Amino acid sequence: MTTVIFPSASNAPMAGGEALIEIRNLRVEYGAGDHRIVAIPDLSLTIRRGESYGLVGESGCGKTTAAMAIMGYLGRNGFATRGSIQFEGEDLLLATPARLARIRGKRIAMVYQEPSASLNPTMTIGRQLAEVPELHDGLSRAAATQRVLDVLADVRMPDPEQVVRRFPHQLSGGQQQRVVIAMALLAHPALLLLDEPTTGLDVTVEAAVLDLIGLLREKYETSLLYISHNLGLIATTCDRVGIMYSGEMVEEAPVIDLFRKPTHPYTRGLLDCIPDLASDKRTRTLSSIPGQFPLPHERPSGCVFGPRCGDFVPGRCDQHPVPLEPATQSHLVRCLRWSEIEPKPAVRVSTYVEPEAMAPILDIDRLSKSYELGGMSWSRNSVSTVKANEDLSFSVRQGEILAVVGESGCGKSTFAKVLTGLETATSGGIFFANQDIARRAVHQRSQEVKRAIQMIFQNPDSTLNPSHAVDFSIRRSITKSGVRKGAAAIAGRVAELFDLVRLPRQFQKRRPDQLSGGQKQRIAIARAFASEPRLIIADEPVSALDVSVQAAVITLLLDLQARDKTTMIFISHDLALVRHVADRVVVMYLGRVMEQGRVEEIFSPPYHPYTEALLSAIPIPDPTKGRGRRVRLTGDIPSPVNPPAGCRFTGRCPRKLGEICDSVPPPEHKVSSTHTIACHLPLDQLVEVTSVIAAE
Amino acid sequence: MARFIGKRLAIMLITLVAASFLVFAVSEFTPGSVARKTLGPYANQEQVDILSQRLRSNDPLLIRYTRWLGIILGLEADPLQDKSLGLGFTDPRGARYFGNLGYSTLYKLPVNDVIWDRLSATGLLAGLSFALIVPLSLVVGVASGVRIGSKLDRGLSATSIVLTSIPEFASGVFLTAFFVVLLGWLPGTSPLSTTGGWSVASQMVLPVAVLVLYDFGYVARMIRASVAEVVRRPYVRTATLKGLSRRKVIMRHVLRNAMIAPFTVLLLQVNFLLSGVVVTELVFAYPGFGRMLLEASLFGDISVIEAATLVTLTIAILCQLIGDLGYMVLNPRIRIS
Amino acid sequence: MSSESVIDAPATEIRASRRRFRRWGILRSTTATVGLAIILIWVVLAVLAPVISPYPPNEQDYLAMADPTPSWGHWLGTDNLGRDILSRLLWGARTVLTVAPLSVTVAMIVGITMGLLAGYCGPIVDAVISRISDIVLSFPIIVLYVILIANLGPSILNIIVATTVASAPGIGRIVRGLVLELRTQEYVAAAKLRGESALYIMLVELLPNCRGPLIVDAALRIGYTTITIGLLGFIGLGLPPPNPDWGGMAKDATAMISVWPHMAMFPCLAIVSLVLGFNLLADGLKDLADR
Repeated sequence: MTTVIFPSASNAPMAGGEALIEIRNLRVEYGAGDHRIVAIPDLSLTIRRGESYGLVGESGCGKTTAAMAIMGYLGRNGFATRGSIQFEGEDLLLATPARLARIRGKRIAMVYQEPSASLNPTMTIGRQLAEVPELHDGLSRAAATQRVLDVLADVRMPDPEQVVRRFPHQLSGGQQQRVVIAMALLAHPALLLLDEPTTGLDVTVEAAVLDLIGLLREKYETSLLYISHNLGLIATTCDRVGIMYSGEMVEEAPVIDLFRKPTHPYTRGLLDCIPDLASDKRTRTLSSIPGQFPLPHERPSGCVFGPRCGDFVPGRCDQHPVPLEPATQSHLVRCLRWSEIEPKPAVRVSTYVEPEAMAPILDIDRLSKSYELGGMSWSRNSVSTVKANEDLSFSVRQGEILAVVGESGCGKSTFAKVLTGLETATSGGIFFANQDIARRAVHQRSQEVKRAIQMIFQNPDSTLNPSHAVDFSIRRSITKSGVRKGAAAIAGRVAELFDLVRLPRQFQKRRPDQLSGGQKQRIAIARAFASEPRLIIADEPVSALDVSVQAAVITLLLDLQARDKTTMIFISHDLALVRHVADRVVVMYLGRVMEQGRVEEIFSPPYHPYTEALLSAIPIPDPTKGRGRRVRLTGDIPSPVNPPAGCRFTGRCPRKLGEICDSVPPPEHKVSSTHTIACHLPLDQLVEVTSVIAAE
Repeated sequence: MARFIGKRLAIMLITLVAASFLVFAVSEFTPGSVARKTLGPYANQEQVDILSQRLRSNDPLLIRYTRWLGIILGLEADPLQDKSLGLGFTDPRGARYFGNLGYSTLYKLPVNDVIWDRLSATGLLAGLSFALIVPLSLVVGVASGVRIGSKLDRGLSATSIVLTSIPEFASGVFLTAFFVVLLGWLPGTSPLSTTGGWSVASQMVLPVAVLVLYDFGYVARMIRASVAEVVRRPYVRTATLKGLSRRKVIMRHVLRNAMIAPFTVLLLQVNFLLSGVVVTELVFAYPGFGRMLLEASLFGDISVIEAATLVTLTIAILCQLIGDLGYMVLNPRIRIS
Repeated sequence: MSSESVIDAPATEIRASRRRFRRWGILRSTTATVGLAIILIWVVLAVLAPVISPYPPNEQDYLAMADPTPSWGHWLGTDNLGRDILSRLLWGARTVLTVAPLSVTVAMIVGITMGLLAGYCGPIVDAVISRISDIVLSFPIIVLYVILIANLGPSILNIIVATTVASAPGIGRIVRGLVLELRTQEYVAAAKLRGESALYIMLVELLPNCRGPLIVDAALRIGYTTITIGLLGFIGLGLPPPNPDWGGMAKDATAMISVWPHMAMFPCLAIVSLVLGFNLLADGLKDLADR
C-alpha cells in the first residue's frame, strides 16, 4: 500500500545500436480479385534493440495491421504482397507456420487491448499462463507454475498464489491486463507488441500499468512496439515515434524532436486538437482537422493527407506519391513542403462566448441511491448493498457547465440515471423547477420537466436505432415535447437542428450505419437540443470518438451550449477535456463527493488526495516539459459493494492519516466559497502540497 | 449449490404437476368421456352412464385430478380395477399400490406391464442412435466450424441442410424401399422378435439409421455454429499468438468453450429429438414407448396416455435440470460469481 | 479494415458510404436464392393446380390399378385406388402451402407478443410467461400435437391451434432473449427520456431490430410445420378427405411399399423438396445477416 512519489526525469535507457526488427517496404492487402483493398501501401520501420517505438494514428490507419503482419496473423483474407520483415536473421513473411509458432510467444509476444476478452474464460489463470513456459522452454508443470508465480510477482499482482487458481472473470480490469502482460513476458521475448494496452482501463490504473511496463522493459530488456492513438501516452513511454495516416508513415522522429518540432501538417493538426491542462475554452478553441479520412480504395494520388491539409498546393502536392525524406538525420517526414511551412505557433484563440452566471437551476441535496444485490449467488444467503451514490450535494447554476469526474464505480453513471429519471433515488432530493424530482421516474414527471432535461449518451453505435432513419428520434422528440406543432413546423425545426450541428440536410433520411461515429454523435446532440431543454446531461459524449473528431464535436457542443445558455452536466473520465470544458467540477470516488469547486481550483492545490493522484496520472503529450510529481495509487479500484464506513478512499489513499480514515466519514473543508474538500487531513497541510502538474 | 438444486427441483415439480394436469384435463374433460373410452364405442349409453357414476366422473376436474394422483401414489384404489364392475381389469399387484398407473384398455394389461418394457426398448434405440450421433457430429461440427467458408465446410453444411430436410418417415420410406425392397438386406419391420428370421441386430439398423440421419444434421450444425463463434473470439487469437499449434489451440481453448452452448441447448431440446424417436418407431413397427403413446392416443386408452405423458414429462424435465446443472459446471462464470 | 470517416466543422466533401454489391437483396446468397426458387416453383404449381392438373385428384382410374407404375398416361403413376399421383401432389400442395404459412403466422404473432412482454415488462411478467412456456415446451412436440389433434379432431383450425401452442413458446424465447439484450441500448433510454410509452418502445424501437432472427426462424418453422403436417397425415391424424394430404398419401402407400414403392416415395419426395426449399432459404438468410 505504498506510494511512490519521486520527481521524475525520463529514465529510458539510451536506445541505439543494432536493429532488432526491420520492416522494409511492407505492403498488405485484403480481399481478392476485384475487391482488393490495400491496407498498407508501403511501410518501412526499424526498431532497435532495447528501444521503445511508438506507432500512433487514428482508427483505421493501419497500425494494428502492421502489428498483425509482424505476427503473421492477417486472417484468411489478408496478404503481405510485397516487402520483408527481417527479424533475428530471417524474413518473417516467408516463415512457415511451424516456424511462426516457434517465434510467437517466445521471441515476439503481444499484449492486447481488451484483456477480459483476451483470456480464456474457462481456464484458470495459472493454466493459461503455464502453457507458455511449458511450450517454449519445455518446463514441467511444476517448474512452469513456479515461473508463473515469479512473473506474476514482477507484474505486481497481489497474492499470486490465489490468483493462479482463479478464472479471468474474477479479476479486475487492471489485474487482467497484468495477467496479459505476464503472459507475454513469460518466455522472455525480444520484442513486445502492445496494442492499445491501457484503453478501457481507469486513469489511475492506467498510470500504474504504464509505470509497470517501463520497469519491466528494463528488467527483461525487451524492445517495445507501442501502438496507440493517445499522444500523451506515447510521449511518456516511447523513445521514438512514428505517425501513421491511412496506411502510410507520415512522420518519424525521436520523441522529443517530434513533440518539439512537429513537421508534418497531420502531426501538427493532431497536437492542436488535444486539450491541455494549461488552457481552457475561454483561452483556446480546439482546432480540428477538416475533411474525411480516405477509404482505402479512395486514396488520392499524390499526398494522402493532401485533401485535408491547410498547406496544400494544387499542382504540387497532388501529382506523385510523396516520398519519406529526412528533415534531420533522425527525423523523417513525408511532405513536399515541410521546409517551407512556417511552424505556426499554436493558435490560441477562443470562440467561446461565456454566458453570464445566473441563479442555481438544479440543487442536489444529499442524494443517495443504493441497489440490493441478493438472491443471485448460490452460496451466500446475505444480501449485499451497492451504495452507488451516497450523500451527493451540490448545485448547478443556469448556463454553466458542471463536470462530474471519476473512475469506474464512482457512481457518475448512476447519478445521471437518477437525474434523468431512468432510476429513482433511494433518499435525498433533486430540486429542479421548484419540484423535487428525485423519486419520480420519467413517466411520473410532468411534460415540462421531461422536456427540460435531456441527455447525450456515450456510445454512437447504440445511441440511434439502426432500423430507423436518423431524423426519426429527433422528430419524435419534437412531437412528444410539444415544442413545435404541425408537420411544417416540425420539419422546419429538424432542418434547423441539422444546420446547427453542421450536418447536411440530405443526411436526414440516412440510416445510422451510413454515418460515421462523429456524425452519429452530432445527431445525438441535435436530438438532445431538439426540445429546447434547460439542462443537458452529457455522459462521456466523445470518449468513443477519434481524437480529431472529439475536438470538432466538443467545439460544437460548447457553441450550442453558449448560444442557448443551456446548463450542462458533463460526465467524463478525461481530465484534460474536463479542464477545457468545465466551469465547475465535482470529483467522485466510490459514490461520494471527494472534492468540488471551480475548475481552476480543482486543478491546482490544495487537492484532495484522490484528485492529486488523478491529476498526476494524466499523460501529457509533451515530453519536453519536466514531469510533474508522480503520485501512484496501488491496487485496483475496489468494488462498490459494501463500502467502508469511513472515507471511501481509505483503502488506497497515499496520505492516509490512520484509523480515523477507516471509521469516520471525513469533514468538509471549505477552502473557499466555491471549493470544498472532504478529508481528515487538516486544511493547512493540504494547502502546503505542491502542484502535481508541471509548470509551463 | 444445494439451494439451487432445491429451487430447481421445486420448479420441476410444479411444472410436472401443471403439465400433467393439462393432459388430464384435455383427456378427461367431458365427464362421460372416460367411461365411454373405457367401454369402447359399442357399449350402449346406459352402461356408460352407470360406469360414469361409479367413477364419480361428475366431480369437478380438480378433484378428479387429485384422485388420479392419489391412485398413483397408492393412497387410493383404482376404481376401474374393482372386480364388481366386471370389466376384467386385474392387476396381480392389487388395485392399490404405490405406482399404480392404471389399466390399459388397449393392451388389456396393467399399464405397468406395458410401459416399462416399452421404455427400455426406446431407450435402446435412442441410446444406440446417440452413441453414433454425438461423436459424428462433434467431428463434423468442429471440422467445419474451424474453417467456415472452406470447401469442406460448405460441403458438410449442404449435406446437413439436406439431411434435416428429410423427415424420419420420409427417410424411413426411402431406406425401406432401397434396402428392404430392392436389396433385401434388411427387414422391413422391427418388432424385436426373431420369429421372422431376422436377428435383432439387423432389425435395429434401419431405425437407428433413420434417427441418426436426421438428428446428426441438426446437432452438427449447432456445434458448427458454436465453434465458428468461439474461433472468432480474442482469446483464441491469444492462444495462437502464444505459439500454440493449431491442434492444441482447438483442443484446449476452442473445444471447451464451444461445447457449452450446444450441450445445454441439446439437453433442452431433448423433446425435439424424442419426437423423431416416436416417428421412427411407428415407421418400423418398433415396440417402443413412442409408438405405444401414439397408439394409445388414437385408440383413446386414457390410462396409458396419462401415464405415458407423466413419464415423458419427467424425463424431459430431468433433462432440463441436467442441462442447467451442466451449464453451471461447464461455465465458470456462472459457477463462481 | 475499418474506415472511420472523420467529419469536421465545416463540411467539405461528405460522401455516403457506398455499398457495393453485385447482386441485390436476397439474391446475394446463392443458398437463399435456390431455396426461394424451389418454394416459388411449388407455389406456382399449387396456384395453377386446377389448371394444369391432368386429372381431378380423387378420380379413380380402374384401368391403371392393374399397373399403377409411372406411364405416359400417369407421369408419376397412380396410387392403390387408381388416383393419379401427380394430380394429388399438385392439389395437396395447395393445402400445405396455405396451412403451414398460416399456422406459422399465427404462432409468430402469439410468440412475439409473449416474448416482448416477457422481455420488457419486468421480472414478474417474465416469470409467469416463462413458466407457461416451460410447461408447454416440456412436452415432446409430437406428443403435444397428437394429444391436441386426437382430442380436438383433425381440421385446419385445429392444426393452426396446435402449431401455435407448440411453436409460440419457442418463438417467445427467441424474442425474449433479443429484447433483454436490446433494452440496454442507448436509443431505448433516449426513447424513455422523451416519454414514450412501453407499448411504443416494444413495437417501434425493439421489434424492428428483431427482424433478422425472426425471419430466419419463420422460414425454418414453415419447413418444420410442413414436416409436421406430413407427419400427422402419416400417423392418420391428417386432414380428412377430400383434400389430398401428402402425408396421408404416404401412409396409405406404405402398405404397398414392397410391391409399388413409388406410391410412397413420390409424396415423401414432394415433402422433402419443399422443406429443403425453406431450409435453404433460412440458411441463406442467416448467412446474409451475419455478413
